[in-house]
Amino acid sequence: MKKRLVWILIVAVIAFAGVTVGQETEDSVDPIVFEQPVLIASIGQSAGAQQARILAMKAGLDFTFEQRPTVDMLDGNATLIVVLGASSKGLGAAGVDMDGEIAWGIELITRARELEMEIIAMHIEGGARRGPSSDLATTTFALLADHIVVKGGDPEVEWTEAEEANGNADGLFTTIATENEITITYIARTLDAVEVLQQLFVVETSD
Amino acid sequence: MNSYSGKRLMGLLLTLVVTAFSIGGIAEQVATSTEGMVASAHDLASEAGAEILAAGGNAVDAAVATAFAITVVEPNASGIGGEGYMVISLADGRDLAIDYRSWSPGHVTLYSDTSTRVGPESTCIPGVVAGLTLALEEYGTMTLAEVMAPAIRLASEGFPLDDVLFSRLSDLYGYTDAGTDPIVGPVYFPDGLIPEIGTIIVNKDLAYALTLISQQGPDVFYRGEIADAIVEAMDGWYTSADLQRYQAVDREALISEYRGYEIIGTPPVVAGIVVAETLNILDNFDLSVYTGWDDPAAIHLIAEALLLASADRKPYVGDPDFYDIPLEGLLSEEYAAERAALIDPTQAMGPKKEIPAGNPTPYIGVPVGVAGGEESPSTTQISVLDADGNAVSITQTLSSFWGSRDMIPGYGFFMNNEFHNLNSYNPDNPDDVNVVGPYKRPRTVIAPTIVRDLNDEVFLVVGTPGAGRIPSSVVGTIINVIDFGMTLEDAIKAPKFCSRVAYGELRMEGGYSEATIEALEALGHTVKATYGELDLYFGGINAIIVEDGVMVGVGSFRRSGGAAGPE
Repeated sequence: MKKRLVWILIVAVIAFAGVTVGQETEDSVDPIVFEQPVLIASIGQSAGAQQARILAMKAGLDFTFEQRPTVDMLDGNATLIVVLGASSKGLGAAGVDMDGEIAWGIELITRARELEMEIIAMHIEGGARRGPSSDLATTTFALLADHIVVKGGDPEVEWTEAEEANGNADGLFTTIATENEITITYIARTLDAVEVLQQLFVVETSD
Repeated sequence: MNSYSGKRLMGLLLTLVVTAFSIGGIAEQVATSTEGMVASAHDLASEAGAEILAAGGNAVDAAVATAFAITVVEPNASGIGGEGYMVISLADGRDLAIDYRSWSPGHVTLYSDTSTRVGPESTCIPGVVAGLTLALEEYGTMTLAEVMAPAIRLASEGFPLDDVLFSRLSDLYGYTDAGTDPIVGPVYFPDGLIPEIGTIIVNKDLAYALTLISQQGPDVFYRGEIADAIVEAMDGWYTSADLQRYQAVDREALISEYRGYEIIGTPPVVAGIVVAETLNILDNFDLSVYTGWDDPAAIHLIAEALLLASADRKPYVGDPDFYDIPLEGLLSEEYAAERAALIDPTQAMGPKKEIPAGNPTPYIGVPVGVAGGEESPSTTQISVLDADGNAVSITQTLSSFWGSRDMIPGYGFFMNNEFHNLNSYNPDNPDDVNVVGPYKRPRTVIAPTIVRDLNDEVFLVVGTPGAGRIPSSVVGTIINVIDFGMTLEDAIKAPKFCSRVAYGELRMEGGYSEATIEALEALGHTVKATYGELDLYFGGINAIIVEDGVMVGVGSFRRSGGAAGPE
């Protein structure tokens, strides 16, 4: 319990720092352009991060994928992508529990901020990857990002994919983005993230 | 020309007829029919069985069709690289069982390491193809091509991905290096990502394998090109001779009685004996005086009976082809009374892990050994009943979800990982009846069951996946129906608990009242009640009951099952 309180305080400090750096909301004029190279990591050890690796490959990013990197691995990268989603099997395979994962995630993001890296939070497994543990990762880390990518619907727009595929059915990500003035992109299908990444990193395509 | 080739042309023609004109029902969570019923872990598999019933097939035909179809639509839980056990109750009064449990390869020895959970060295010789074709040949009425047609269609034309398989594919994606595995990737992750829910999942390789089997019979799997592919993929773990040697076996069903109902279950090396002994012990108590599933006094008695029966499993239950098993003693009323006398209604036995096995030998005089053992964690259940009163209960498995994680290249199915269910040799336990050896069946806890009523008619067809929770969930469902008078739907939905020596605690699903949990703790039970409501940890019962001549099929509420009957 004490540990959880300490984390909440740390998160609050990091969140405040993030806001003072000055983030743009979706209504603002200048979208953030993220820089490469990129480090992709998982917080929660679900299959989402491995999918992000494939998406980054398809998007043509200069990236490194580490399921659970050490803070030293941040060196030399300009952007950190944290893929949020808790898997008990994945956590078990990594030999950690969710409390340990949260503590490690805070350490990672704190160091990324010290290195003045930009951070993207992705949740790309839809409603199937919502639940208490995944939501703990989301509510702890999404508000620390400079941009959120979520596989789920904009509450203002009708969701036309399978209900279970909507990771934002309750508007959690929208609320976090709004309350923390973070830009957000909604995708309907995982593969749509390729184009989103190309736009965020201004990758020129052959099309 | 083998016996299947002779029927081939006619079979293909009939397949077309079946596919074009039969009207199987649309699966629902709870379905009713007077013409037959199929309940399984997937709507489309139940519909495949219903389609066969509608075309005039009997329960065995429909069960085999459903069992092949479930290997396509629930490939994580069972497959032709897996194994199973089938209990059949025929309308002519015969009750029987078909053992298609897997065997260890011939080269293993008493000193082989059984701890591996993935890869070729975790696998046993698969039995599904032999078992299903044996059942069809002996007790079915249709050709293999006819009953396999729905499965082949599902594999070749595809089926929409639901949220349950999506979650399992997410697991597999992690196991196969983000779906980039050159064998698994093209089948399940064609664009490198986990497919979206609703995506049509096509497995052409599996369709090809199933088509070969439908045309050439089991020989193609155990002696033909599929056997060659298995031997090559298993990289020396099997020989061709191992596969050729495999046989499914007809066995006598395990018959016991509870409150006058006849319980037809599986003989060893699976857990029908645990279900039967538990119910025998409970026959010494009147559970109907209790208020129902949430009554702590009833839970206490059932939990203690399960504990005693599970304590007897390890010393006495081994592969019947290798050991004499004191079944007569274990199933005797006198022995059950002796075990029941150990239950104190006011105090839990304990510690649970130290509950000793009983001694059934005075009741028959068969020598016994002492053993330890494990169980299969992930399975699937199929229940079928036809209009003539023939019933089939099948539990099939790969052991873990996705088995050994080895897909046979070009044939689209996964191998089981049953080998870990045998025990490595332990010099401190020299009489272990589940110790590893060549061509042995590992001991597991599956327990497909059929119940005949006081009029000797099939009343209930039941079974579940769920590893160590299987016997308790089967027993709990039977008691909910017979003692507490619940409908099958309510009996299945009611929270479940598990009591067995391996756990050392009473594990309870969400939904029990606080007062009940406190009362059980006051009786001395160590209770673990951290599970959710309708938690798939407690299984996924797919069952059929007959109520006033109407068959009611219920698909699992814990694992998105479905039931369907002919329209």
